[in-house]
Amino acid sequence: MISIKQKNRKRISLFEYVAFSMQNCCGWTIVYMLLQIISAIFPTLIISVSAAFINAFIENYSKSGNTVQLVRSGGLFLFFVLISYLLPTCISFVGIRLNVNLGTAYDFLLANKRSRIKYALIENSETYELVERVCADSSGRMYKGIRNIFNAAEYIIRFAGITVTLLVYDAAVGLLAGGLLVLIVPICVKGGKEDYKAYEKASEQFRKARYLRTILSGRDSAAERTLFGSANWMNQKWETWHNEGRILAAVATKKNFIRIKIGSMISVLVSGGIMLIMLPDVLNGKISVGLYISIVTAVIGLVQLMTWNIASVVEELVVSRQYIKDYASFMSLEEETQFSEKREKINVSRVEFRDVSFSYPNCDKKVLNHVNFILETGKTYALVGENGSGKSTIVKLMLGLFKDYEGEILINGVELKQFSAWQLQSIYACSFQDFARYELSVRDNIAIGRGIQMDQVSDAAVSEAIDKVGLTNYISAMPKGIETKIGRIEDEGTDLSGGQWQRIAIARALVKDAAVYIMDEPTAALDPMSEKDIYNLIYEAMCGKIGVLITHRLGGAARTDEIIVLKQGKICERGTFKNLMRANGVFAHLYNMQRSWYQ
Amino acid sequence: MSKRKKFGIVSIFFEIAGIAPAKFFVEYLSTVANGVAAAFIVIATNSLFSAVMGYSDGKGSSSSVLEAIFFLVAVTLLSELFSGISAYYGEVYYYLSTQHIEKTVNAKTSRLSCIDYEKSGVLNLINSVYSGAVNAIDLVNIVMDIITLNIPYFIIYGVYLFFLWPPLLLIFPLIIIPTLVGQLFKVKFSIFEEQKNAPLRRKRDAYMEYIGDRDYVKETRILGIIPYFLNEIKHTCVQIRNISLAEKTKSWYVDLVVDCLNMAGYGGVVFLLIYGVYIGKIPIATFAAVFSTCGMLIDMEKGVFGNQLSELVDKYGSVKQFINFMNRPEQTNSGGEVSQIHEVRVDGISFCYPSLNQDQVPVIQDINITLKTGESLAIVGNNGSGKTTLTKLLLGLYTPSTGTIFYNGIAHNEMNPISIWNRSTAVFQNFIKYRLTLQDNIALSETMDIGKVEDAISKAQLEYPNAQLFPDGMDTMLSKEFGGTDLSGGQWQKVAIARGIYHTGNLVVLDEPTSAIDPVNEYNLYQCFANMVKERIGILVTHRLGLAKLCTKVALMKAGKIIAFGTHEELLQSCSEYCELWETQIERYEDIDSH
Repeated sequence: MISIKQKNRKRISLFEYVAFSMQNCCGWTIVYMLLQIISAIFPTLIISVSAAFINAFIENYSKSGNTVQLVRSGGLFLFFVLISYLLPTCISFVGIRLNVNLGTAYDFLLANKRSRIKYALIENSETYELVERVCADSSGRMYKGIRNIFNAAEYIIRFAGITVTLLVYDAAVGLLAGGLLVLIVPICVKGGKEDYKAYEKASEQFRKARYLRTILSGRDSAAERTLFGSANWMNQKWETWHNEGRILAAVATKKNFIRIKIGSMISVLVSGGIMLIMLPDVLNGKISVGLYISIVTAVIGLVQLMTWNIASVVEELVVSRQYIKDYASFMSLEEETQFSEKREKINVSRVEFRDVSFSYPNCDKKVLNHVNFILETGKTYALVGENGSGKSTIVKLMLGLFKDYEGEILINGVELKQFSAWQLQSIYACSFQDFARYELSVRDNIAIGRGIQMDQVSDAAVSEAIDKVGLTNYISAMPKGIETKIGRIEDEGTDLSGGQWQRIAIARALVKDAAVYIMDEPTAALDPMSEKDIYNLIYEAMCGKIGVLITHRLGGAARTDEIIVLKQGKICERGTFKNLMRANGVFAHLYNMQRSWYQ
Repeated sequence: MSKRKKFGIVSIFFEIAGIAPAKFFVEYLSTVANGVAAAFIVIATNSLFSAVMGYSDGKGSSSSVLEAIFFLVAVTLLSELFSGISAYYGEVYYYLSTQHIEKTVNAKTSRLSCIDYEKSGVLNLINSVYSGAVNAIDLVNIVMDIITLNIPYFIIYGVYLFFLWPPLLLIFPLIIIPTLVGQLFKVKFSIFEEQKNAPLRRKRDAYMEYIGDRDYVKETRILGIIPYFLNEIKHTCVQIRNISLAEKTKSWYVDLVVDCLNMAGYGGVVFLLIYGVYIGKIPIATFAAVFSTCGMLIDMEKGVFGNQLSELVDKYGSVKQFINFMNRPEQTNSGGEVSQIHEVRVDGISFCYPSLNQDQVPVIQDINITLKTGESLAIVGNNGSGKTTLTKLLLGLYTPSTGTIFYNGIAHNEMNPISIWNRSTAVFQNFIKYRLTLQDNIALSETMDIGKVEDAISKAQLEYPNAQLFPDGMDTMLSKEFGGTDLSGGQWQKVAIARGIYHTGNLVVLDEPTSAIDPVNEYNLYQCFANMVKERIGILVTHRLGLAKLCTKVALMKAGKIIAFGTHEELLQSCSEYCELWETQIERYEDIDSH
């Protein structure tokens, strides 16, 4: 499957859809385009064929003319009519192939790109919204784009067909018809763009209202809704929000309708004009009666098609156009780059932060302010501090998620930025507070801790990890043991509780043999009995490695070799537990507060 | 809308029409006018073509041709005008009516009791009720369209055909019969690709989330398993493609058969016209007129007997479900009221979640407690012991399966539950982070008294006012999705606490209210809680015993039962499990001292 080449174009147009289609599904695209064009030309051909039939009939009727001619032209007419009836069916066959193949190629293209976007952009809400917009309901977009182009093209081709037919017989009439086309199209398109913006705003309101609807009818909010009696108030709010959207949409609809109706009424008038102007030519025989009738029939047919369709065709085109613009922005999002592609494992014995400062992209506030510390093998460290003091940021920088920091982060003396992604991944084993619950088997959810090498994790190793975190009984009671799938959002019955998931997350880290262990609030969801066991487990695992523990439960931090206390991005205290308590500073104050409950 | 109203198909019709009767009337009157005008197009076209034929033969006059052209243009313009008006009002009305009916459904679903949500299939039911509501509107529209657009059109066109040449009426059965047959054929042979592909699509979507969605991407990248998921996505996409192609092609074959049937019918119509001309029953001008306009007639016939009829049938089931749901009986709000709760007495209650399993173990068994104003109870125990469920029972959100809860001596089943809720408040463990403003997040109602909100905020120790955190003050939207700010876990918990404080009542339930809050704030908050509970009945759920000993009584729960009850000191003396729990927790602090 081929991706679109990154061209540095300033303007991206609807033809991108055609380009994509050609690149990924060349054969079917060509067939599709040909069939669509033929289908659009057919009405014009039918004009000539039906004209011939009508004329043949008139001759036959008035004089005893050629019956053979009559039957032949009648048969030809019937044949063309039936073919044009069946063409859409053929087109839909090709359309199916195109739709499915393009959808698959596109989904995969998006997945690839999405996986490579710079992490900083994912945390940024604006770019994230763009990603969501492009990737939501993505499968059919490319096909829809090309289909919309041809739907619109059908109008133009049919109109052009009538115009050409007229031009052949009478230049003036032909030009008049052509002129109409040139008039109508821009009116419809311009209006389409304005409406689109209004509809966008309206759908934003509807989205907000939709949120309130889930609160009003949802399960999680039922307790508060009932207890605080907030339902009526919320429903009123829902109505207000929904109404705002409705009014926005209504205003846009009104403008849209007026514009389109005026356009189609003008076409009707001009069609009447064409009928008038052609009359003298009918009398002087330049245009046969058959042709006149056929052209009028074709015009009526086109006007009727317009009445039903043109609004939605224009709307779809505008949507397609907007989407392709978003798509172009999405594809030009910055990707993660790495300095090297090395795959040699590193034996890390030292991690150093040297004068590191950092603020998040598009943020002025410094989250880390000249932070200095050294982590050495064989020691455990605790990172403590209030929410927002920078603890998780330090971890993110260590892991290499953000590379735009000031100062240096040295791993074994070498700058972090010089390591490849593979190497960084091999250094760390982590367990996060917001760990991911993958919809995989228990076995895979744990084995995944070893990354790409997850297939090499033996069942024995997984069972051992499960045993260490105390889940053996529960897992063996599950329907398929460690092969049971967990993480399903709908089937609440078979999923694990918060505490059990936390143990799985810890098992994930245990299964990997890494140089640095990072445990972020590893016991937040556990009750105190289990907390003790888990802490023992963690300290055991961190033996002989670099261990980093982040926690609010200061009692659990006491066993570490060094406690680093962060406050507003700076290290305000550091030392062993004893020393910090003796110093009677920030840490001692926090600790005593927590402890006071137990005295 | 009165709560006692019974819904039925007919009453829905009047309900929907009654939302904005004037607009409804204009919409469908225009539709009738459109139908009539559109039908006249065939008459106008016929007279035009006859006039042209006569004119070219030299028999007719140019004025009759001009008249015919003007007549055709006029009738087409009228049809355009009326179709525009009816389409516009149609769209407006659609939005209005969907809004109205959704509001009605909102009101109904919001009155579902907490226990209703524990029944299986309830979420699916709610979803289908919402779509059923919209389907009801579609149903009304379809029926009205058939009555006001299609029927007048068919009648006028049909009558005209009859006057031209009676056998032309065969156009109707020639199209309608293949359409009906085709529909039946479709129903019998339709293969639903969606079902086969749904689990694969879900898997693909889930894996897409793992590589790109905020909730997962950090871990996925750090673990380095993106290539694994990408590979899985690729395989799944290919599987989906193969199934889609196969299923859609099968469906296309069905469509092909149906199209051929329809084509045969259409061919029959054209042939009929040609034949009529051939045997001299209809003039060629009429042939052309009917041929050029019958397209619209045929589309309408196919529409009514094909799509619309099948839509009616499909949607009827969903609409019935909607009606049944709206007619569900609700908890009656009659019964005793209390102005203040000063005593809660729990008498031998047990509780089971709704389930088909007859032998299931009750989640709560045989609980007996009495609490009076000024007393506070700490409920402790490990996860899964039933602590939160018990609080929901006390708050009247769940009803006990056996036993009684007495509020001021009135039994729970003789009380109006709203009265209990008005006098209670809670800070739930799983409080909701509403995507609303700060003020709304706390008040969850029309705020009459800003001072009360500010008071709650300060008692909850929330950092307010704070230009960085709350740039719009009380009106700051608390959600990234709607363009607002994001609060940390601890800050949200304080908002939840402020919420509880604002809705103050005689009965106060605090369920793990400080789990995400750092020690300093926690300490201050418990001072606040202690004040709250002084003149009220307080219930604190926690598994940290250090906090439990602040309360006047402690209850240790295990597997749904209270295995120990008394003051903290009493339990330390008498209950070995409680002792063990206490030792474990204090150990962490004492061990260290002894280093």
